[in-house]
Amino acid sequence: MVKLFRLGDIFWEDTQLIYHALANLNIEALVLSSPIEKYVCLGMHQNPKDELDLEYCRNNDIHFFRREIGGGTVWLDDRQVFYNIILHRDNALVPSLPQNYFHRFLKPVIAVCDEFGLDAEFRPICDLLANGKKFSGNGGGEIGGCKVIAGGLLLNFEVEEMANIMKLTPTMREYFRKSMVENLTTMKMELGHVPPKEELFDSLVSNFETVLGPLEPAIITPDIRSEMNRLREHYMDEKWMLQRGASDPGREVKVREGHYIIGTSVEIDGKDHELIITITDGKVSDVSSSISDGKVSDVQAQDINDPMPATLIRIREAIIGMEHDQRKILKGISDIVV
Amino acid sequence: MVTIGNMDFPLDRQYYTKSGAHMWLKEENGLIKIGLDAFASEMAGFLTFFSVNSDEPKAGEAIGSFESAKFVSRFHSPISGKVVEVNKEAMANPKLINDDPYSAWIVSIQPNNMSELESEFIISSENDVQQWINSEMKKLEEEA
Repeated sequence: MVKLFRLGDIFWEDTQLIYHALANLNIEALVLSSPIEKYVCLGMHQNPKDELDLEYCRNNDIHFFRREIGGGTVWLDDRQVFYNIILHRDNALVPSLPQNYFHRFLKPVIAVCDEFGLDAEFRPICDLLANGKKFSGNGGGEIGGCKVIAGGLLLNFEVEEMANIMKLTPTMREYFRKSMVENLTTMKMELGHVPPKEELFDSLVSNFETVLGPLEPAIITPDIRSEMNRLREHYMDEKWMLQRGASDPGREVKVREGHYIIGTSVEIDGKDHELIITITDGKVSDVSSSISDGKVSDVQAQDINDPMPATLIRIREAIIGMEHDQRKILKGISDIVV
Repeated sequence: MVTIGNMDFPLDRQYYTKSGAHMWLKEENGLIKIGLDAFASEMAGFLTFFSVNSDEPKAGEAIGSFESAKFVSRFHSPISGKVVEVNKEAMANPKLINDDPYSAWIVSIQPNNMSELESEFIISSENDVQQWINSEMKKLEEEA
């Protein structure tokens, strides 16, 4: 029987340590929690030094955690509820393909939304949308002998806070903020109120039971706590936290599934220009530029005899419609700029 | 060569099959190069990150991780030994593995014991490869 850890509001680190510990101990479980403090969580392969404005985080007492599962940087706080599914990799309920795993185990979350009057839609690979806007992000991975999904529901959210913690140029931060406003939503925005967490937990339990079977209520035993403590030392060590993940040649941030912003610099006629490339539904949909003042240019409105707009028009022609492959996109740009 | 759908499985190498692993291994001058096979590459989709984090793996142990579809999967070493080289180009650009999984090797290992290559989880004959991939495809159909 899969165990149920209904933890409620807990210390921020514990919201991450618990599912890592359970997976390492091979304990199949559903964990429900919410952090009592704000923090930032990065994906396994992300590089905090490239991803976060660490000075801003330090000055504002914002902790960060690099988890062992996938996905991108997320802002987490007490206005969110989390669910973690931990199952043995050989459990018959666990599909071999991650996309099927997400699909199967996000159905109960959609049912929860339905119960609260929110018309949620699954957007492959693992986002949940309402009215075309994301309000639930999810990531997954193998930890020990288990496959884990970690996700959450946004009850309320401040895009400003998320924009501020990221290491971005002013132009890109502005784009990121604007894109989040256009592409993210919350239960409060959709429903006009924030559902009580306990009611959401009740609903998550009953809907996950339809997939996982009856859940066995459980508590954090000394063995689990001991593993969490061991992991805390490991994950809080700078060797782990600041370990360089794979580094991208350009700066890329995700807003929602299929929607990304890529920033890169190019030099034209001795001037540095920042290009902002927008990816929509997996393809390049727009390219804009700014010079050092951070003002974004609309190429169409400019004099095409000016070298930058002329170059930008060529760049647009070359990359609009390209698939979301950062290296190929940047190569397409450098072929023109060089 | 075994071809199933748009996936090729060249028979100039062996395949590691334990617990859903889809790794190929090929001996070159006493070293064993390993990589993801076409099935793993195809099913993973667009690989966004790849990393190796073990210097001296034992057979069956996780040797590194890769990410696609917001999911971090581990890949396991088919043999015990010492990692003597990592394909940095493939680590920096995992798309190379998607494009050609048999050229984009991942690590080169100095094996401790060549007899491990005779494990029941390492296959190489046309018939074994064909049967294995067919059964993997069937599993996918069942879970869809």
